[in-house]
Amino acid sequence: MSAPSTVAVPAATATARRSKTMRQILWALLFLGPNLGLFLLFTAFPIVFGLGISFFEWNIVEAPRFVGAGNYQRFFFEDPLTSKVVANSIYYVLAALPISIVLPLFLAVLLNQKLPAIGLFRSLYFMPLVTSGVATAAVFKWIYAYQFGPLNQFIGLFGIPKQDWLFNDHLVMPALILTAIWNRTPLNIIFFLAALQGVPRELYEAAETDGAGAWARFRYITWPMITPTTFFVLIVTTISLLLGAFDMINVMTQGGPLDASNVFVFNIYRTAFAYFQMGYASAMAYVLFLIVLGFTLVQWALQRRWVHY
Amino acid sequence: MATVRSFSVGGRDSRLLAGAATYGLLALLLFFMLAPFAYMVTTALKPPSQVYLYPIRWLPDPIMWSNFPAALDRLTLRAFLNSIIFTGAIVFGQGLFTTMGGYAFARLEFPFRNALFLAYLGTMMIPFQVTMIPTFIIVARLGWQDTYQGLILPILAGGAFGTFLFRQFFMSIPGELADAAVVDGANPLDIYWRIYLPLSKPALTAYGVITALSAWNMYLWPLIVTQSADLRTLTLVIAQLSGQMNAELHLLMAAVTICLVPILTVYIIGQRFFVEGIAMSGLKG
Repeated sequence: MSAPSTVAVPAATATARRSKTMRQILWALLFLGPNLGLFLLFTAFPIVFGLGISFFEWNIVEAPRFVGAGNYQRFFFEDPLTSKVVANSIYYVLAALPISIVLPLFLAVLLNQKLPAIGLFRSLYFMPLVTSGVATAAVFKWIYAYQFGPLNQFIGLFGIPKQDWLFNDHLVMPALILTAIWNRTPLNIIFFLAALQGVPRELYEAAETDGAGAWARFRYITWPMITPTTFFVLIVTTISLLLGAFDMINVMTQGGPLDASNVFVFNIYRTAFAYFQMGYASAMAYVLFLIVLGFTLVQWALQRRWVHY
Repeated sequence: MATVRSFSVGGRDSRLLAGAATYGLLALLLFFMLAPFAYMVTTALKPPSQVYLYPIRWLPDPIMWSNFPAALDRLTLRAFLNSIIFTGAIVFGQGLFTTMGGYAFARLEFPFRNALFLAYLGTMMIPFQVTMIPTFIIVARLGWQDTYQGLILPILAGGAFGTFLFRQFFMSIPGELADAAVVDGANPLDIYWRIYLPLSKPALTAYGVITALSAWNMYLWPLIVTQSADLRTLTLVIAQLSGQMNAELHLLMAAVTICLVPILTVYIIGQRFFVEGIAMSGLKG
């Protein structure tokens, strides 16, 4: 309550100024304190702690044993599973990525038309947005069922024989990728729709009077105007595919058959919480972190250069 | 618009054609987007004898509404309650802590403010997989394994993004408003509660909606930290059921439908907030 008086007196003494600073710090403590306490305990400390754990061999029950860079050496040079998991992760991301960009972009262009009832279409297309990875996986697991699954019935229309999608080591990844695309499409439609709505309509009207067709308008107006968004969606989708695969895989395949669908995030979880190799799992988590950091830095570096207008 | 009007009749025809083609394409692709939902709901309504028919019998006869109470029985009300507690605590806890923290970073002066803010920023791109193992060990050491505080607090703590968001939002509110309130004798708590929060309603709603969605759907952390059935959330139970209920697919699909209905209802009512919130956060999912 005395705050206004100190503000009002221009020639405040040094002690008054100090007490005002003290009060500010106390207020800051009140406002930031709970937030900062949780941040330090469950974010900042774990980051350092996890790095520390990665230099130990530790099954939680026994005392940790220092192994230096042993866990990293094991990951990069000794573990036969590493190449499989890395190859699976790259396959998963690279196969899902193009369709996760092109399909939502195409749909966003369609959904951006000024047509009656287009809002209804948008709402329906966005529905998978609220569907959790687990719910999606629980349903898709049965869509891929061998004996009575709807996917086998659908491909049967084209004369393709039934496939055992989730138990065939060549088909399990395509099946997961299809599920990931289905789950990711609405979010990317939203990003692209927001970008498309930022393109001035006069540009299209001008192009139309000049006789430009739909493809020419997309190629020479839309595409250059939305490249920054496309690039953003590309990076964000890559990271999300890399980090977000766990729920689906744990429910649908558990990494199987025979590690055919074991990707980075699933392998970290299993190493830590099924095999209780906390040190090794932490080392893998830090490798994953460096990969994600790499993508983020690339995004920052290229973002400024890839703006066309 | 005048230039568009002056087009020939042929222009209007081709416009109609383009509109029809757009609808056609949208409807075709929508079929694939919604087919999983259709399979889920129709299976949920089937009597057991029609679940495993091939070719699929899409329309159940009779419609088995009684699958839903049976599925709810498997899900347990406890899991429903746990999901509500978990989601509610995280939404309100994060809403309070991130706005207060954001206010401190935006409007209060204290030592190491910028260094701390940079630390918050720096942690935003760190994957959960990195902190998950040490966090689990910390929670176990605190004796919080299989407790509500162990389930909730580490997720509630993940408010770095929200703190950043509200700091940016509060910075855009003109400082004169707060200065005028100070002259009237207001302290920072008054200013935060009476000026900054009411002005942030759209941002608060959007942030609340995406936080609620991700908490309601969260799987990995509850999976790691809970053991007893008493603490399981709906997502955990669904995951568990999907591994067990090969012989009762209709009940599994009814259970998934039951979990989706609350969130779909909220989505349909507040779609604008979902879309804004998700577009704003960008990094969700």
